[in-house]
Amino acid sequence: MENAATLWSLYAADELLIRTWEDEAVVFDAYSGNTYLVDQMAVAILQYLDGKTTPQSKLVSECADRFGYEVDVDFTAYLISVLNRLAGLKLLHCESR
Amino acid sequence: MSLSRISNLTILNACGDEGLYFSVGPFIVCLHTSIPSVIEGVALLYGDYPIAETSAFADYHITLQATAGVRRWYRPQVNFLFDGYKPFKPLPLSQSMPSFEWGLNWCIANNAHQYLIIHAAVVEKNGRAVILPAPPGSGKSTLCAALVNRGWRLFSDELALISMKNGNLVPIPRPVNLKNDSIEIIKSFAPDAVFSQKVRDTNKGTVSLMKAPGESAQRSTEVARAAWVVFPRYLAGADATLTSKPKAQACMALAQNAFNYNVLGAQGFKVLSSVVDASDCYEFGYSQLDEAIEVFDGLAASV
Amino acid sequence: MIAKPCLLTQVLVKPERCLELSLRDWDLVIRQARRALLLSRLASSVNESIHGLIPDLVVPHLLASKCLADKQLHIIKYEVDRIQEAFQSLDAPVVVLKGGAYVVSGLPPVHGRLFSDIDILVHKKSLDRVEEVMSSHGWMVTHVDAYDEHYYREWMHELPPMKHVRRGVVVDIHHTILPETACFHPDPKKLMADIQLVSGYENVYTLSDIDMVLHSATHLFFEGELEHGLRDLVDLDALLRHFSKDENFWDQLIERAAEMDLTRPLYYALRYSQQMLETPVPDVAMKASMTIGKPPAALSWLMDVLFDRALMPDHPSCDDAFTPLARWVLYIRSHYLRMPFHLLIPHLVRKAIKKRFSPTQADVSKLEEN
Repeated sequence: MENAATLWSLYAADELLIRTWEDEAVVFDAYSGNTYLVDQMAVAILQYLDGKTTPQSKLVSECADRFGYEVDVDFTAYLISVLNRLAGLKLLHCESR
Repeated sequence: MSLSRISNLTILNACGDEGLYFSVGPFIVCLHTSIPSVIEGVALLYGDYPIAETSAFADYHITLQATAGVRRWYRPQVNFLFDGYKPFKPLPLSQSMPSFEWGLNWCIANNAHQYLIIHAAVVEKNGRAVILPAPPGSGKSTLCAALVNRGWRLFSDELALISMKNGNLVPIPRPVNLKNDSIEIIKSFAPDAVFSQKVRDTNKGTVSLMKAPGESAQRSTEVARAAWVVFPRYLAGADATLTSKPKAQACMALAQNAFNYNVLGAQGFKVLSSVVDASDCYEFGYSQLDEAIEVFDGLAASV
Repeated sequence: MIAKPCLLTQVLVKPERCLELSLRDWDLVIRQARRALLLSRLASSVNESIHGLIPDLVVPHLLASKCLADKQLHIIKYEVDRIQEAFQSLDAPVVVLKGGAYVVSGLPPVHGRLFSDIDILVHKKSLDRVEEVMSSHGWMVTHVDAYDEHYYREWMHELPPMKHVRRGVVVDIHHTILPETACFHPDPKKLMADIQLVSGYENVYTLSDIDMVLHSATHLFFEGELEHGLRDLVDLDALLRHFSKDENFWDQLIERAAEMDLTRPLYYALRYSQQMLETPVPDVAMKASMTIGKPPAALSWLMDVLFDRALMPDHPSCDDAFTPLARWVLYIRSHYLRMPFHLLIPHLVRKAIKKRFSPTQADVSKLEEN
């Protein structure tokens, strides 16, 4: 179960290619060979985690900042759902604390 | 020198002997067959295509062979062979010429990884090309056949070849594969177009091959850059309408319509996304061919 | 009755020969290579720096085939990671065999190689649990009838192939390297005792270097239907050249072959690899292998006649009048080696019927629906 201390990182660093047009992007994951259509939030997360491991709470606040949202219950739940989707696609790795 | 300059007898002899070597877009095909409908079909539909410069090398060695044994007399069948290997089940002998077309598509899609190959039609005007990806049954071939009979140059009705080296679209003009009602529609639309005999009862229904306009075969070494990606959809009664398609979605749809995107890895992604980047992407609904042509001509005229 | 030489093997043995090839030669060698699943291997032996010196028409074929090989390499690595993940709940190593082993270890046969399935070796007693965890991670036993099921489990010493439901990759799970009915009996426990951990992995292993060579030899000469005989021989040649850099290699190889009851496969491996691919086998090793592994004269002669032909690419340009017969005899032999004689004929008849009436080939008109 994720919590604020859960650590997030890219599953296969150095393997992602991202191309953004307006508010959507296409992500190529060289590790799996798969290509995905994602939104701006997912791109922000993938770009932020490039080269680093970050606790969930920090990730939530960074993303909220970037898009001008308040860090409230709704936003946090939304962001966690995005993180879980990306983890399900093996784009992100999480380590529970 | 084009195939039309040699007699059908010469074609027949070549096909039965060393093989008939001719160029199809960037590829050299060597064809062996003794099936009359294939020899006639090649003479009719590939007449404008150059005899290959060399008979020492072919990209694809293809044989169309009537099945031996009981099948010679009872429900005769044809086998498509790629250099002696049979990748497919035999089909009725009457489908020999379409088998050649489908089989050659398969050879290219499975081997020519120097290109990103998308299941799409490509036409060109004024040096700029439109890629028309579409799943089967969307009317892409009909629209493509109409466009090339109204001043657009045919690059292909099935295979968009994008060079992995430089992103250019490479022509591979081939007979346009029309099915069922489209055959008569295009015959009325373009009374001067040349068609093969209809072949009935195929998996796709009745098919007929429309010869590519002479210009497209003659200019088959002239490449172009993509300027538009248009996803066509025939909708009965619809006005011809272009609707902007978000590029990320267009990119995904192209990847899903590509035969070999999965093989090409990161480089394939880079080439594909560059093509999308440089193109305007649209969904296109239409029902009337004349209206559709007008819309496309409007694109070609735009700056 | 020596078979005629083949252009492909000549170029594989001496890649610099490709500079002497005419356009017509290239046409032939590409076709032979494609049929032998060695086109990308050929491409990898032709350095890109000399592409300017070979005909323009040829280069796209080499580049295109390398694409395919690179992609397959990626797939194998990814799948091995997934199998390692699946095995986390078992207390068992993931022992990768053949092509998969070359990939994870970065061994020379990997260059330009094309792969089909992934083969792994497990202890016989863990088969059920392995099947269970693989199933729970998405690999399903491919649809087989009761006969095939029995065939695989009883005679083929492996589970029926398991195919991933989404990714489509097939994993073959073995518990030994030769069936119990075979005339040689290498002890799988001895193989498992000598496995080596692959660098960069937590739980992925390969057989020891020596055992890898012996397994390659055994698979080629006593297991498969020789569909990709030349490719497997090319693997063997690459392994021998690589491992023989260790001065103790040849002695250890002969010794282990004797210990594992695999002297005959080793003899065939050294003989045909040397003959066809000019593998530098020291005289001493060759003589030792002959002493302990060479069959009686008549059988040896017969095997020469058969393998000389069946190890060539399956392409008309490599055939002579005896090739189809040679392939057929070896096909029968490969099944005979796996099961008692009284079951062989019904088994072969059944296989022939299935092949004749099952739609294993695609429908050419449905290309665009794939």
